Amino acid sequence: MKILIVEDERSLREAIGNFLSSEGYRCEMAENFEIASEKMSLYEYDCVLLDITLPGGNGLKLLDAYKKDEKKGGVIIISARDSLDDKVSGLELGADDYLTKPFHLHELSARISSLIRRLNFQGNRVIKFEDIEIKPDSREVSIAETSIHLTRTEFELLLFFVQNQSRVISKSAIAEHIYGDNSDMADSYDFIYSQIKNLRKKLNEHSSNDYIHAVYGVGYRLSGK
Amino acid sequence: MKLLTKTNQYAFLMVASVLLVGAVFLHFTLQYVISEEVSEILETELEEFTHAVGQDPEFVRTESTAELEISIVSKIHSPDAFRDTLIYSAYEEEFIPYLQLTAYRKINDQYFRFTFRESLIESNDIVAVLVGVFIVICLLLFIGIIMLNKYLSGHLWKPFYIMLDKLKVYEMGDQIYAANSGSDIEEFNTLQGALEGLSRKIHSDYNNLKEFTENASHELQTPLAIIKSEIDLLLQDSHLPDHLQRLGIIEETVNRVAATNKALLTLSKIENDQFRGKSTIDLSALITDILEQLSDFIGAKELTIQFANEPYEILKNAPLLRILFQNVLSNAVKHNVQQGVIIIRLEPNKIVIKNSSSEVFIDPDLAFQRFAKANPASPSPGLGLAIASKIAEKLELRLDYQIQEGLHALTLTF
Repeated sequence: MKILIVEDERSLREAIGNFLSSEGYRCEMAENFEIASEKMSLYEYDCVLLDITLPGGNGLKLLDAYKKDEKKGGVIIISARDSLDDKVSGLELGADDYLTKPFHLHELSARISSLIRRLNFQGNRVIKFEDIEIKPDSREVSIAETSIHLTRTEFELLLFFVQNQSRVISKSAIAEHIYGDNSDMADSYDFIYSQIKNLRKKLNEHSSNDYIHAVYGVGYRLSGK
Repeated sequence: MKLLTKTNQYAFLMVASVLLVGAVFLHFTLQYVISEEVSEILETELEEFTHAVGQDPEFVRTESTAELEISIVSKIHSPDAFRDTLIYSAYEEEFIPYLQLTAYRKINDQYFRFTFRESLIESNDIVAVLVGVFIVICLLLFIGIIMLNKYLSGHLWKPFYIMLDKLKVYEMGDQIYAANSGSDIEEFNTLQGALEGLSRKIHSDYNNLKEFTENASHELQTPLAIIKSEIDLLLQDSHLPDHLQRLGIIEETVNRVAATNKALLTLSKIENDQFRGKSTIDLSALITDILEQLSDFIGAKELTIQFANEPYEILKNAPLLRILFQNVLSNAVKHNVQQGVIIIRLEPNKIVIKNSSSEVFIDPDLAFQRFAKANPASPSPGLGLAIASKIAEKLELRLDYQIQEGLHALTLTF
């Protein structure tokens, strides 16, 4: 899977590249409008991460040209501009997702994997982790071939964990993913805690392995045997 | 008061004072001129009668008329004297004003007293008619001025009113104000030029401010994004529990900064009128949607929600309305107690949201201020209600906060 990261800020570009590379993606970088324009027209990518404010031009123009070229890869806009106009015109121009800075790398990674799954498998894909099977579109989960029922939040949690497997995910990244704008609710971490406890219980009823581990003081990690 | 009314008022004052002073002046001038004339007539008569009596002493008649009395007296009593007098006229059946000249003359060793009178009634009539005509002229002049003013305000002032109408609908941040009033009057053209210059300045200032907001957003969001990303990366590499815990603290702090920055940006965007346009929104659906998002929090606190989900449509700016209810409802959940209650009532022109609360009631004036918190140790930046009140202002709603039956109650009045 090839990903192009178009971002003018070097540290952010490298952090994203670093994180995604360790997930097995092949990452290429573009730090300005010109380079991005060249790469986007010459090569094929599974996903382009596109910053709007770039030296040399507006990222929306790149998006427009990319879509006119009928490229297949998805585009996720990553922007510091939380402006509604940008969001609307970005999505109208054909962007697949819009992520406002600052974001967690886990969130970005989850969005990328959802997008690639959507584009490449028309949603029929089954995500497997050890003995867990997730069908994201029908929201079905089975463990060791036994179907289990999860609440909406529990399902989102499990999917997020699987999309970021073996990684330490902080409580705030989880809270932001699940609750979005409401993640700053005073007790959101307590809810995360109790939701994860419920999820763990349901998983452990059917599986011999305890996959979700607490990382003291920080968050959680999903890891296999 | 309208310009036309004001002008007419001044015209009226002017005409009224001219009328008053002029009528009085005219009256007395005429009176004086007429009485001089009558005096001259009387003196001429005196001359003539003195002469006639000198020629023919038999001329003296004993019977007297209203106009003339001649009698023989023993001596001269007083010098010649004019005086006004009233004499009853049987014919007119009223007293008639006369000017009377009394004079004593010694003619052929005899003393005579002459009394001549001239009726003033006709001259008084003339004065009355003249003053009347003068008043009519003044009134005509006043009507003329009013009509002229009306014409002027309709034609001469037309460009001014065109500019005024355009200015009334001019909104800050709109394109530059330009009213082609098509006037050839220098003052109006200067005014138009000044307005255009002013609006151009406002427009550019407004854009600069907007850009500043966006730049501030960019300048802060990107470093925050870098810090967050680096923490996420470090979390993967650190294995010392001590380090992980510290990273956790750093991350939570960064999140607080990010949340505050985001709230401040939202506030400045609202202040900069970056949310425009209206659409019809089903408020019930919006509230249901927000409650759904908050369902985990509501469930965990075992809150009872009283909300009759009936269609309730209003015409407002959709994003602003969403932010408003997002803030208000999440506040109602956040500050609620275990097994508390939230009551949402949609009434015509009024929405009331009541909730039980763990917080002490803060003075409403304070509550809507930025960074106001009941509990200073709370990690929340205290911008939620400030944003809500700013939005209410923009949406032209009134936001009240009080205690009702032991519950914190927010009332939105349309």
